[in-house]
Order: sequence, then C-alpha cells, then structure tokens
Amino acid sequence: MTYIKIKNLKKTYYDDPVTESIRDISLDIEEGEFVTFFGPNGCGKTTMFNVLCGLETDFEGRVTINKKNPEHARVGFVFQNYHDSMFPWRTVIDNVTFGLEMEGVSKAKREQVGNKLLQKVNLWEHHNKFLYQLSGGMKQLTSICRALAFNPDVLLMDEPFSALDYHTSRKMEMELLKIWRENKKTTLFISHEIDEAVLLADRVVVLSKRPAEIKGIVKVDLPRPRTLEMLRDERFYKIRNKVLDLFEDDGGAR
Amino acid sequence: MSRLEFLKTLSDKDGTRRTGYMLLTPLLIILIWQFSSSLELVNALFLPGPWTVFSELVGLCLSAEILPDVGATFVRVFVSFFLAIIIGTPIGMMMGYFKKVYYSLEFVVDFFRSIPATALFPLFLLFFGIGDAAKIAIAVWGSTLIIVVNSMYGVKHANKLRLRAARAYKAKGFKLFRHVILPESLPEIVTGYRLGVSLCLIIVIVVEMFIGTNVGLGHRILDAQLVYKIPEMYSAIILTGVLGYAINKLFMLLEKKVLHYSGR
Ligand SMILES: Nc1ncnc2c1ncn2[C@@H]1O[C@H](COP(=O)(O)OP(=O)(O)O)[C@@H](O)[C@H]1O
Ligand SMILES: [Mg+2]
Repeated sequence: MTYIKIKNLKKTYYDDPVTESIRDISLDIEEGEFVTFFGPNGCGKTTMFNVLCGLETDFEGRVTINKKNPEHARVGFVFQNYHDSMFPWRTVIDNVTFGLEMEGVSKAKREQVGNKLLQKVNLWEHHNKFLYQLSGGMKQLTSICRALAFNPDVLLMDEPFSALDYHTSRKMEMELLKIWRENKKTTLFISHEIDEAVLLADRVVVLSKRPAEIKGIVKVDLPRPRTLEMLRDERFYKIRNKVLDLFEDDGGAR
Repeated sequence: MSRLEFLKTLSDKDGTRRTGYMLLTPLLIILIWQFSSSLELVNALFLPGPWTVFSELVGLCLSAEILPDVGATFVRVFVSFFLAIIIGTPIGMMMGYFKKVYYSLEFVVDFFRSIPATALFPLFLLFFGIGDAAKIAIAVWGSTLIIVVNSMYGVKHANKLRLRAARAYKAKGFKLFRHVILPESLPEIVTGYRLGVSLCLIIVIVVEMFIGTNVGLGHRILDAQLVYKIPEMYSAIILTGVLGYAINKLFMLLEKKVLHYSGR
C-alpha cells in the first residue's frame, strides 16, 4: 500500500529572481522502502524535502505521508551539514532526544530511548560529551540517532555523508543499512554520489536539472543485506549504468 | 619520568615563561616611570615616583579610607548594568526576531546611540535630581543601547539551518526560544554585556565628577586633583583600572564556562 504519496508537486519561489524549483513530481513510495534521489546540484532536491517535512508549506500539488499532511507527519531529518544542524550547547544524548523533549516526553523516557539508540551505534560511551568533541562521522551518527529517536514516519536524509571522507562515508552507509534492516523505516535519501545512490536503494529516482522532474526510476534488485563488495559486482555495474544513462540522456544538460 | 610527567614539566615551564612575559611590560613601564621621576623629566608635582604612588595606594587601602569610594562606584556600576540587562536584552532580542519590532525601533535606537550618553547628563540631572538616581539612569541609558544592539544581532545572526532543524523537530514557542534561540544568540548577547559593563564604568566615573557626589572613585579622582593630592589621584585612577580589569576578567571566566560551545 502506498505510504508516501506525492502528486504533481510543483514549487516556485516567487522572490526576486523568481525560481522555478520543482516543475512536476509524482511518486508513490511503499512503507519500509529505501528510495534514493540522484540529480544535479541545485535541481530542487532539498526543496522537495522541505515540502515533505512540513517546513515549506507553500507549494502546489498533494503530498501525504502515512495519510497525514506533511505538517502533521513525524519526520526525522538528517541534514548534510551536521555541524550547523546540531546543537553544540547540548550533550550527545540531549541532542539525540531533542525532538522528544520538544514534545514534552519525560526525561526518564527520553533517556531510555536515547541510550538504547546510542548503544546500538556504539556511541553510548560518548553520550555525555558535547558535539564538538566528536569526529564528523560520529556527529552525523548522532544526527541519525536524533532522527530515529523522534520515532518518525519517515526518515529524510539530505546528502548526509557528502561532507565525510570516502572511508567514513562507506562505513556510515553500512551502519545506516544495519539500522534500516532492524527498523525498516521508510527512508528517502538524497545523494549526489552514484555508487551510494545505487548501493543503498530499493529504487533510485533520477531527477533532471532544475526545475526538477523525474527522468526515470531504476529498480535495484541486488540482494540484501548489501555489502561493500557489491560495488565490484557485475550486476551493480549494470544498474549503475542504467542510472547514468538516464542521467545523461541529454548529456546531463537540458 | 613518564611521558606525561615530562609533558607536564614542559607546560609548567611554559606557564612560567608566560607569566614572565606578562610581567615584563608592566615592569618596564614602572621602570620608565621611575627613571623619568628620578631624572625629573616630568614635574614631580604632576607625576610623583611609583614608590610614592604605591605607598599612598597601600596606605589608602589599609586605612580603608578609599573603600567607600570603591564600594559606591561598584554598586552604581552593578545596579545600572543589571537594569540595562533586564531592559536591553528582551528589547534587543525582540528586534532581532520580529521584523515589525525591528522596523519600529531601528531608527530610534540608532539615533540615540549616536548621541554620546554623557552629553545627556545635564538633562538627566534635571529629571532625576543630583542624587544617585541620575548617575544610574544615565549609565543604564548608555549601556542599554549597546545591549539592545548586540542582543538584536545575536538573534539575527542565529544559524538559519539550526533553526530549520529545530523546527523540523517541532520546536516552537517558548521551547524554541529557551532551547535554541537563546543559547544560539547568547555569545553575541554576552559580548554586548561586556561592552555594556565597560560603558557603565566609564559613565559612572565621569558623572561622579559632577556636582552632588560625595563618594565614588570619580569624585575621589577629581577632588584629589583639585587640592593637588596627586599621589591620591593616581591611587584612585589605579583602583579604577583594577575594578575595570576585575570585571572584565570575571566576564571572561564566565564566558569560558557558560559559552564553552561558542564558535565550535
Ligand atoms: N528559500 C528559497 N528562496 C528562493 N529560492 C530558493 C530557496 N530555496 C532554494 N531555492 C532555489 O531553488 C533551487 C533548488 O534548490 P535546492 O532544492 O536547495 O537544490 P538541491 O537539489 O541542490 O538541494 C535553487 O536554484 C535555489 O536557489
Ligand atoms: Mg540540497
């Protein structure tokens, strides 16, 4: 059954200059699905996420998440910039439980949820540290925990690993898939790295240049659990090339 | 010796070195001071030697004669600064947050800020009389404006992405203010406090030199000068410096502790 429904989503910023950010996007996403979005810089991906998480309410078209309007849906947002999107004055655990605290969940209950998550990703020993005492990867892991602690309907990840080095991002991808296998959260993931987009996804949505339209959707039928070895797999290459073909069918430019 | 101990001796040595450099320039100044007074380069009436001044200073402190002045100045500074914080912070933060408040107050604040506070003192004397009220009111006036401006920018400069993240996790109303906007803007607000308290000290010292003051460092400085008790004048000036320095250091300590996250 369709869990997230995006129907004829259009978004234009009527500032000066007027920017048509999303031309027309329609997409249905199943519960528990892992969908990645692959498209050129500035094509409107973040705009789409802002609509989905209820921060951007001025748009055309219809969007529902778990039958709810975006403003009423629970969204776990993981931002690309883990530095600016986290709260440096809070400890790791207090960052993780931020959303629950805003909702008025009791401290005991909050810490129970937060501690459990931090243990799962091996961050618990750092729970009383401040964010600036952690490495970039650990910060982003904290940010993922913050999103999950909120018990979201959907996880939105906006290029979460693109600021990390190669080795760390691959490690984080595996960590993310491990978490995802356990809780099967519906996950929407923006990536500008084709390997990442393919390796993580059930489906890769290829977007055009701005204003965003869907150029095509590629199903990734690699077996799960996914491993980094698959990056060298024949089948991986085939799928990757399909994505590239879609992406570049007009030389990447329109 | 373990590696750690070795590193410790290094840093100890470093500390000693630092203290050495810190003392070097003051000692040099005192030395030049001593020289110019021994060689009578400057009239001894205007600039007595350091020994004369320091023994006067110690004497004034030991006899507790000058303590009421220090106390009075301190209380005036403290009270006016406290009031300025209470008035200035909310106004500034509202200007930073609400466009309408900003547009309504921006011009007025900028205009009044362009008038040196001390220029208004005669006016304040008219309204508040020659007692403490006028002195405190004028210091409050001056420092409030600084605190308003810095609090405003503190909120205005709040990281947009951080606010977006907070809103994505449904932070709103007072909780958004208390848990995100306030800590986010606090470093800049506190910078305003530091400027504000310095200005309070400046204004209080200046207005203590006017009529209607019987006690206070400013009064002591001017009084000593009028009757040519020059060593006493220098002592009072030095004590004023010590007071300002102590307040500043206190702030730095507080910032290091409370604003540990600032810029990280
Ligand atoms: N708040 C905004 N106001 C005006 N224009 C915006 C705003 N946010 C994004 N845009 C514009 O919309 C386009 C798409 O931006 P974005 O969704 O951030 O792209 P990306 O796909 O790289 O995430 C860009 O041209 C950007 O300048
Ligand atoms: Mg983006």
